[in-house]
Amino acid sequence: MSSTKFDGIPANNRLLASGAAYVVALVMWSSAAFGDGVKDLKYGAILYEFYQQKYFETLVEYDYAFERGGIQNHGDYPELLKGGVSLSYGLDLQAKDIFSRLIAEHSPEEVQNRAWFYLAKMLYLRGDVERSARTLANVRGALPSEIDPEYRYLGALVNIKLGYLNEAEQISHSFKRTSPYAPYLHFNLGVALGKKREYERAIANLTKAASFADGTAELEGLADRAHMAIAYLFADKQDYDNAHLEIRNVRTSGVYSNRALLGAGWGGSYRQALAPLSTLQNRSIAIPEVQEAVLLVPHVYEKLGLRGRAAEGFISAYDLYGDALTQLDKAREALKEADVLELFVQNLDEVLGESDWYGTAPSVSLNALSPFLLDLMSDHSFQSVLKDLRDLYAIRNNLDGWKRKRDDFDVMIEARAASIDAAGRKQALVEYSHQHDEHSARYQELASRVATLGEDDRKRVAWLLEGMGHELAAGATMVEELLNASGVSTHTDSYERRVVSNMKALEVELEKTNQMIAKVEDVLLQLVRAELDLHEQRLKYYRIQSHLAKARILDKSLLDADAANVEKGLDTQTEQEAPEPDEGRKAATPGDDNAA
Amino acid sequence: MSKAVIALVALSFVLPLNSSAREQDSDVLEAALSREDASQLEEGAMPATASRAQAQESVNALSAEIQDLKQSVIALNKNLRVLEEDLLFPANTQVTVFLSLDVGEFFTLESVRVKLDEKLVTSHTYSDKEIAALAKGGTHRLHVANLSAGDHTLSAFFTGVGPHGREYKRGTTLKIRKETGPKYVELKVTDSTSKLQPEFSVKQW
Repeated sequence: MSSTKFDGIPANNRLLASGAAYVVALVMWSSAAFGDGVKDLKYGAILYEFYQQKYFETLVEYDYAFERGGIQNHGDYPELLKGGVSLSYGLDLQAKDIFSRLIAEHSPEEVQNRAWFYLAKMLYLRGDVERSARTLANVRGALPSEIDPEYRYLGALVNIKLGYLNEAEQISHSFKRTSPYAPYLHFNLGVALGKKREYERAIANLTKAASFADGTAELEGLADRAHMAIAYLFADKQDYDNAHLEIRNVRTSGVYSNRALLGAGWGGSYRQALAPLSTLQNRSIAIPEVQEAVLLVPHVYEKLGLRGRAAEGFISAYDLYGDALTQLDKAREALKEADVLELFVQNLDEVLGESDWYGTAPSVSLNALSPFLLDLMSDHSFQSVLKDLRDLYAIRNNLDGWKRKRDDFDVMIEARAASIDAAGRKQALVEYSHQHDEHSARYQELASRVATLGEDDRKRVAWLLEGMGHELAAGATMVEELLNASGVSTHTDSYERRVVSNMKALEVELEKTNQMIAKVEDVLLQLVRAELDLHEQRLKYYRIQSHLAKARILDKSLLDADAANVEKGLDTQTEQEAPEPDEGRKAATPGDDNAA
Repeated sequence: MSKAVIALVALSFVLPLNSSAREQDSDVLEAALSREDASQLEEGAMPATASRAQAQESVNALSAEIQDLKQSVIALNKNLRVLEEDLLFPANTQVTVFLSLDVGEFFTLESVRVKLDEKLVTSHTYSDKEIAALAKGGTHRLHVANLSAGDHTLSAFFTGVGPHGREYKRGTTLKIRKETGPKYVELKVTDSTSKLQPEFSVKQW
């Protein structure tokens, strides 16, 4: 492999990150960016939005601060922050411009290092790992402690992606247990090692990843995934006992429980399979693992020789698949409803956040749709579309909000013309008038001093004094005229022009937003429909299977019954042909009807 | 981040429990879903994979346009906000009240009320997220108002949980002088390690 790897830098100088974890680090470094405290309230206001992860509002606040004179005494940090926030808000191009500019401007080494780091991170997130590795190599010396963990993580991930697993593992040894990235690094490393059939090292890393479970949803979920991955690895090396044991470590609720329960169903004897499969059976039929379990349960009964239960199960499965297909039709119908996609996107957190969501019965249109999209929701492309769409909906709501203020602006202009502006303006003019008086007094004082100078010196400054006198007189006249002015129409005219121009721009942006939403919704719809098609195909297939299995059992039962009847018939015949010796003896008894 | 990774794992090690050591289980699998049938389903899955890749491409193609749009809307928001502020709060009469926090040990802020010249002008109850943002160094733009030139009284009343988990209410007052140009006032809540109490102050910028 010819790619750059991180083998020359001390382990404590390696790193990188992605996703939600990135936000944490950005927060950490920007905390350091104000040190003893905020030195400019405008920067504090930006941080206030930023720390709430309101990226759009952060960027607006940033632009506002620069419109109002910029941010003082914080060096390049505000711009670095803007670059980082731009990255989080999906403005890659703006982020790249900012980081590249900071590097080109020969900023201090620390600023350059941060810029290289974020550029590398951006490239990694775009999938350009080679360039990300080369960019990281530009970092000189140690990075500040607040971003060092993320830097190490990025370095390790780059090495993993490029296949340098030993180097990545070496970096992992330098991780502190308190690093927020440690669980993810061990997980990703374990998975990468597993794919190379490095079982021991893979299992060790995955076990370590699982050990970080602390009761939080995030790390518990990661632990579930790690246990599942370990189970797969044991199974891959045909150690089924350990695979089965590992699967039991996965929680029986939560996003990853379905696959674990299905795995547990496959991992033991038929009797042992019944419990996990039955648990699955009680969950939503929209989940692929449940769809499979519904068919597996009667099959297990059949294998256990419980033919009656099996037949009952297959009949019930057939009906369940039928119901699921009806639900699927409802999901398709729901897609036709206005705003369903926006509802879906806006409620995504709630949908995913429901711990008992699997058990809920779809009722409203949104619930009819959501259950069938669980697998799709974990797909990167789907998430990417959702993220864009969520941002676009938020932008549309924002623009709609300003649009509704159109009338308010008119009222503001009227009010300003009538009172606020007039009062403020008059007050300002009075203030100017006072200032004029003060300057005039100082002018007189200066003129008196000049009068005491020698003739040559007096001539040298006379023209300056004369100019100042003219300026003061002109100023006085202007203030006087303005004070006497009866109206402020010129002023409000300029505001009106600004309102009209901004509202026009707003209409343009709103139109563009709606067009963009339509395009991205189309992409989302294609994804959703493909997913529903897949469900339909699978459900129909399982339905046929259950039907055939039911028929097979019934056939078998009939055949068995026939065989039994035949046997019975034969027995009867045999009985008739060869009576029991006693009966024979009986029959031989004189006076017996049979003997006759 | 690792969701995609787990998906890869699942693909790499799918259907692992089919050895002779678990023959019964293999039977379960094979009877319910024969290999042939399974491949049929996998083929069915292909369009879904393809549609996801296609979706990613479509979104990538729109990315530059989406970014342009976002930047324009951010700029427009800034313009509208400046315009609104210019109209409502002319620089000469404008007073902005900020709130900052440097506490944690002795006081947990819950809400604040602000009075200007004895008149209640605003109150705010803070969410956990907002408190966290303040604690990290954020500054809340609490109130913007118009004030005439001259002397005024600004009072702030803080409510929260103080030392020993008790309800804690405290107020602070400052005389401010409004002159020409915008005025910025910061309400500061800090920990006093010497007094083991929170401190409340007002700073004029």
